Amino acid sequence: MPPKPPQDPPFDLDAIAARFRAQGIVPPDDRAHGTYANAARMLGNLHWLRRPRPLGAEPAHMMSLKEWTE
Amino acid sequence: MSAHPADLTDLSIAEAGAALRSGTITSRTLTEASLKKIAALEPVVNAFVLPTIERALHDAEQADADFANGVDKGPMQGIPYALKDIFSTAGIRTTCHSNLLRDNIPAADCVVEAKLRAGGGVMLGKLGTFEFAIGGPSFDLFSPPARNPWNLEHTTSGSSSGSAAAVAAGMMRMAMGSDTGGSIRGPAAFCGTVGLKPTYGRVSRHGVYPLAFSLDHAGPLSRTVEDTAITMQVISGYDPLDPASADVPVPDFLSGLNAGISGIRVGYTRKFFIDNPSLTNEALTGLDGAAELLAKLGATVDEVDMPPFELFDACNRAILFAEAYAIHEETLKTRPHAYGRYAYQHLVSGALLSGADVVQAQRLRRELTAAVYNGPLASHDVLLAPNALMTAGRFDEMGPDAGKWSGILTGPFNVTGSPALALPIGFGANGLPLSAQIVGRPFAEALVLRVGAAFEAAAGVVAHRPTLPVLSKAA
Repeated sequence: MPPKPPQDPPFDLDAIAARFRAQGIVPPDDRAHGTYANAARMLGNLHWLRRPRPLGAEPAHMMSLKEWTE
Repeated sequence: MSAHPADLTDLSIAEAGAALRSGTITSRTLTEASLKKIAALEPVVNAFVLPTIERALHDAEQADADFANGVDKGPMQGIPYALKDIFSTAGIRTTCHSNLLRDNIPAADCVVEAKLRAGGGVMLGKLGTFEFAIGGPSFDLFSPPARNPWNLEHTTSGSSSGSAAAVAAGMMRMAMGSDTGGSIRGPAAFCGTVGLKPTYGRVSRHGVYPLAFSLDHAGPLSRTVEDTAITMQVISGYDPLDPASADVPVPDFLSGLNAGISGIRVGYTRKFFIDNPSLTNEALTGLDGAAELLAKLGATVDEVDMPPFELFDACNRAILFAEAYAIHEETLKTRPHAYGRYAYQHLVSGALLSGADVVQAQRLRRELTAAVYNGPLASHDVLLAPNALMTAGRFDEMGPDAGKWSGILTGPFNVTGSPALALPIGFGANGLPLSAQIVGRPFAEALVLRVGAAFEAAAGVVAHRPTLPVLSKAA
């Protein structure tokens, strides 16, 4: 099991604001800090999604025509 | 003539159904008992965003007329219920508890409502929710958040907040909720009700406003397991209008409900939560006690392991936020202040997920699902799992901004799509409820309910009701 991430990872407010701007989003001033902190928590957990996955260890499963071919 | 409790809302759905069919009560009197309780309690509990009194009385009179004419539409005929306000209702406001949809009046019923209506149920109204089933409890919306009937200073959790509060307060025996990461089971835990997240695909979501398509489930919250089983009999089944709906037979959820659990193999996921920083001693004591009671009832109980919670949690949130953001993208950009503060802050975070993040989450979802069904749910019939690891928090502990979700371990079974039953197991030192989950293999709701019913009957927890002064006045 990988080490646990910190509960509230420090975040770079300017970097997260820039990422939102790149997506066309400018949070209202009165909500901005909480928005960035919430996003930082989500981003801080994304490392859990990435695990060693040998090529060929999983089937292609994103798309199936099964329901139209039976 | 059989004797009935002074408060008819204490009748179970089965008891009320028997009384209605024997003619010892009418749906009108049963409905008026619910409406009386709502009138007394709603000013402090805030469970509803819209009571539908005229509709309820009309439904009740129709049910009574049907009974008089020998028409029996099934076990919900004449029984009051209510809907979380993300369930579309024809001609009746469906707001998602959001200022954005304050005037939204759908043209058609969602499929669940259509089934309850066709089954002769009595619709009492639309219940409060965290905004769009994600942001709350919020005080910056057109209607205040529901309060916990066990202690009005405490929250209900969410997002099916009004559903849990209404059932716990005794306004009705059953209310519909939805669950994307725990939105049936969390409120059920904090308010001391039963709550079932059925198997993904068991109950249609058509007409239920989505939070995240691939994680959303619709299901009931109720006073008892039997109430839930009866409801499931009415609302389950294949629906071609819901692309995720499963074309599988609907079993008889009631016939084996009281068959006991002798020989049932229960896997207790103790290692899964024992190191969780949110775990309280009283929750651990309650869960250990539940495991012991299940063993005393004849089940084989032993400890099983699951992949780390953090994996499920990251997977659940990445998919949830990505799908939710896709639904709300345009409005978040153009009308940010139309959302309450909490909903906005949660929903907009999905903008920062990359395509690779989402695909990695989907890959992980498949791996975790396989790990559960090939692991503990291959060697065991059901799992005993934690729900909330603490009792409900206080409103005055809520910060100004959307906080992190922690200590409610329900999301893993949205990831796996498993049927998961929230079951009251006791009370904390502050008098607020504690809860566990009984989790089964896909479409094994009948077994999950059977285990829940056996535990419920032996534990006696549901006999304890909120004792707020305002509640006793309303009885």
